Amino acid sequence: MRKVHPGILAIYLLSFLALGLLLWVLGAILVNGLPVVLHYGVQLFTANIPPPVFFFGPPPEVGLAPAIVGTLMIVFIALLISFPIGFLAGVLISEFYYTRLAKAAEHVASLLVEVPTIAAGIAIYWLIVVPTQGFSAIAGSVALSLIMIPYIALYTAEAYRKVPKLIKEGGLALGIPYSKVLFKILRGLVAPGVITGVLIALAKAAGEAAPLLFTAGWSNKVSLDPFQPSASLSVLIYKFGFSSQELWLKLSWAASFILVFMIILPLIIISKLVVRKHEF
Amino acid sequence: MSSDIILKIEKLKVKISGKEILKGIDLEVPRGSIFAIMGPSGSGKSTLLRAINRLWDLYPDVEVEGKILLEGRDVYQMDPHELRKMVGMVFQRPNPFPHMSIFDNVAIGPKMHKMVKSKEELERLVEWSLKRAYLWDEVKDDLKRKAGRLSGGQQQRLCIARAIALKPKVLLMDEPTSALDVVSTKRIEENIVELKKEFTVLIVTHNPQQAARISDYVAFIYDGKVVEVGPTSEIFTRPKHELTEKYVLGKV
Amino acid sequence: MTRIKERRLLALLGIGGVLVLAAIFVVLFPLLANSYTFLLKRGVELVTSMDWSPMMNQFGGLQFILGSLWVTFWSTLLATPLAVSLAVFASDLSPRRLRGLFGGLVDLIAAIPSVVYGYWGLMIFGPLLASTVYPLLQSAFSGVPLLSTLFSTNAITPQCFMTAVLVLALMITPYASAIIRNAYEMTPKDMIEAVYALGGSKWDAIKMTLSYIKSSILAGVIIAAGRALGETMAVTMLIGNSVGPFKPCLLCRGATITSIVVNEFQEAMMNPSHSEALTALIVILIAMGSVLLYLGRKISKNFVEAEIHA
Ligand SMILES: Nc1ncnc2c1ncn2[C@@H]1O[C@H](COP(=O)(O)OP(=O)(O)OP(=O)(O)O)[C@@H](O)[C@H]1O
Ligand SMILES: [Mg+2]
Repeated sequence: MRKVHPGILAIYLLSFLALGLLLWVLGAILVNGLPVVLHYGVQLFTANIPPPVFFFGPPPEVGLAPAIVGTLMIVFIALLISFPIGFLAGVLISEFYYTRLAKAAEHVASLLVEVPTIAAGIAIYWLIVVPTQGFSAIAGSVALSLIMIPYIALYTAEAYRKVPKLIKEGGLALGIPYSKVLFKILRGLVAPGVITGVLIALAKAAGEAAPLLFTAGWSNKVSLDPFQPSASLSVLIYKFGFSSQELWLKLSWAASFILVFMIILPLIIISKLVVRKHEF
Repeated sequence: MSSDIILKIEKLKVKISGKEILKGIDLEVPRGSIFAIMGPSGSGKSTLLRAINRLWDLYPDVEVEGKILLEGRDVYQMDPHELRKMVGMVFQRPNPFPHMSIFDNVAIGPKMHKMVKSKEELERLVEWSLKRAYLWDEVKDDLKRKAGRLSGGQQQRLCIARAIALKPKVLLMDEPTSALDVVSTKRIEENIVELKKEFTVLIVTHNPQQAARISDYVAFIYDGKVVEVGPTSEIFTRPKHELTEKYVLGKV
Repeated sequence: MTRIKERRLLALLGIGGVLVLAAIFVVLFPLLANSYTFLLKRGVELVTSMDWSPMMNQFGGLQFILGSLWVTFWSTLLATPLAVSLAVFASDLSPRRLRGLFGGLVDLIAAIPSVVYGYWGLMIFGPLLASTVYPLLQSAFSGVPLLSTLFSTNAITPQCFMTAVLVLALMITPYASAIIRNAYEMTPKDMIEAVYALGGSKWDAIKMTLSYIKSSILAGVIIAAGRALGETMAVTMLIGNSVGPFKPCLLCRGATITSIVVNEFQEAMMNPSHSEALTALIVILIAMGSVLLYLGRKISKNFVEAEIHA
């Protein structure tokens, strides 16, 4: 057998160690979360969060609906806020790269990616929760949109930048206005990149708890009113994770499973498929 | 005489990032002719074409001075979109919209300029353009194919079809055959001669033989200036300028 | 000369650009507005004292600042070899056919939420370490000078600096690895071929590549450290949340800026000084993170792209 250099061996070992540990995390979510989801079945997605067993005895129905609905609603509103801003800024950064505004926007977006998400949460607490005197789903959405904007902007810029100048000029030379070239003709070319950015931003936002703790608040009941407080899966994992109640710990695992395997994983898989389908 | 000049260029200067690339170009292009622009690499041929349809507008570090008159109208006073509809362009490298179908590549211009009233009219126009570009026979069975999947030569002919679908008055062609093999080159040369019946063609070429084969007039450009200009037969048989002679004989 | 008036397009896109600029103010302005009087009046106390007792109106937060740095230092130190190995493995050693799958897996892993890592550490990883590895470490280093203090504690608990450090190291590994991998794969191929041409082995080629991208590795590690510094949920769930004075110890319970904010901000809403002190700590956190980001980006400018992909 060929001798393997100890350095290479070390690389293999460390890589497998890292991968093994990371897979362990995924495996643990699966092993602990899936059985809970299967056990409660549909009611987990439709019923309200049970009150503490300690006070009220075993609940008739056990569900995570308020957290699931909350996460979906908060993230969706965050998308409505962040997509137009991020998309327009991204096109600006790519196509008018020579303007001062574009340069500044690119710089700021690359800084925003690295701002700790708890900072966004506390900032929105002061900016929205204090003046409105209460937690609300929409405050959580604004906090998450701060996290999503730079991803959407930078991915959009990259998508437009990747289109060769020559192809843009091909459109212009036909007498088609620049805006139509950018938004209509190139749509099919940039869509995979832009959609990937949106999906990645959604995946990041869906898992965030820190920006929601002091903005969106909490609710045990399903609420579709964005101006009312709302639960979310990520905050539920944190809140219930520290409890001493068996049921709540189980719900934290179930929420982890739903968050990772039913929301984030599909988003990432779709983003991969979108890119693959559009390759020439 | 002057009514037969479709395109007139006066004292055209182009500066890119402060560097003067075109240093005062004067040209008169007669209607219905094939007008070849020759010159060594880097002499400013592409730069000249891009000034005519105002593609430089989008580049903040490019300054254009002088006058370009199309049918007597100053192109820099015109609406650029209208101008570009009247002046078609085929680029040095094929640049179809790779993600769109063959049909859509040709149809997009007429559609955006609202040139057609019905689907049938659009289909007729696309067919007409593809036939003019000698691409029709190769693609007529699968017009839905993505343009990015065509060969380089086919893509270039698609770009010609895309340009002529707008029925421009002047067609700018920037070395349309530079990336192609002999057979495709011959095809495209034949197209160009054919096209002159309907359009005035301004073609950039590196290749003196090509200019001799297809053009009626030749301008020889060197270092951003016109060295010599005149009917093709004259330039090739009795070049007045030493540089032109050298170039024609392939010595530059 | 007349230019195309693409004004309307530019105006439309400009709205997006301006709002992106606004976003950073939306983050910074409320934080500064609600902490600067506190910082002016009691900033010195906040960064020099370790007496934290909001009920007694004592706001010494040095232990949180040191706790954040302590956790960041160790997790970065541990993540570095893992990240470098993973980068080399992914771009050079793994079977070519598996690379796509591998990339997807790393993307997924990088997208696991912090709070889920925290919960895994809380329920599984921490308790396991506390019952096996930590006692071993403690006894192994008990006589050794310096190192013994790292592992000395009265009672081993699953939640402590070490658990937070290990989970955090794991969390930033895919991220640092993505940046390193980006640089690794951009290394000129002819340089590697030259190594082989001189009779070098695979290992020589890897060593050559790694030395070629030294500065990118350093930059990647520094930027990953910045992420560790701001990491919130997992740390809060694992660090043990003790507000006592900082001790340079790994098996002790402790706190960081992010963990104290998560733990106390809710109750601090009733007490202006308390909430302002916590906001001031966030401002300090951002300042420290900015230094790391500045250093990292100064060393190597080219991986903002890799950063957003990670
Ligand atoms: N966008 C640009 N930025 C900077 N310089 C440019 C740009 N475009 C052209 N130039 C310069 O202008 C000069 C003329 O270029 P141009 O493309 O017009 O040459 P050409 O005659 O078309 O050459 P070729 O036959 O190689 O296509 C060259 O020196 C080139 O470097
Ligand atoms: Mg050229």
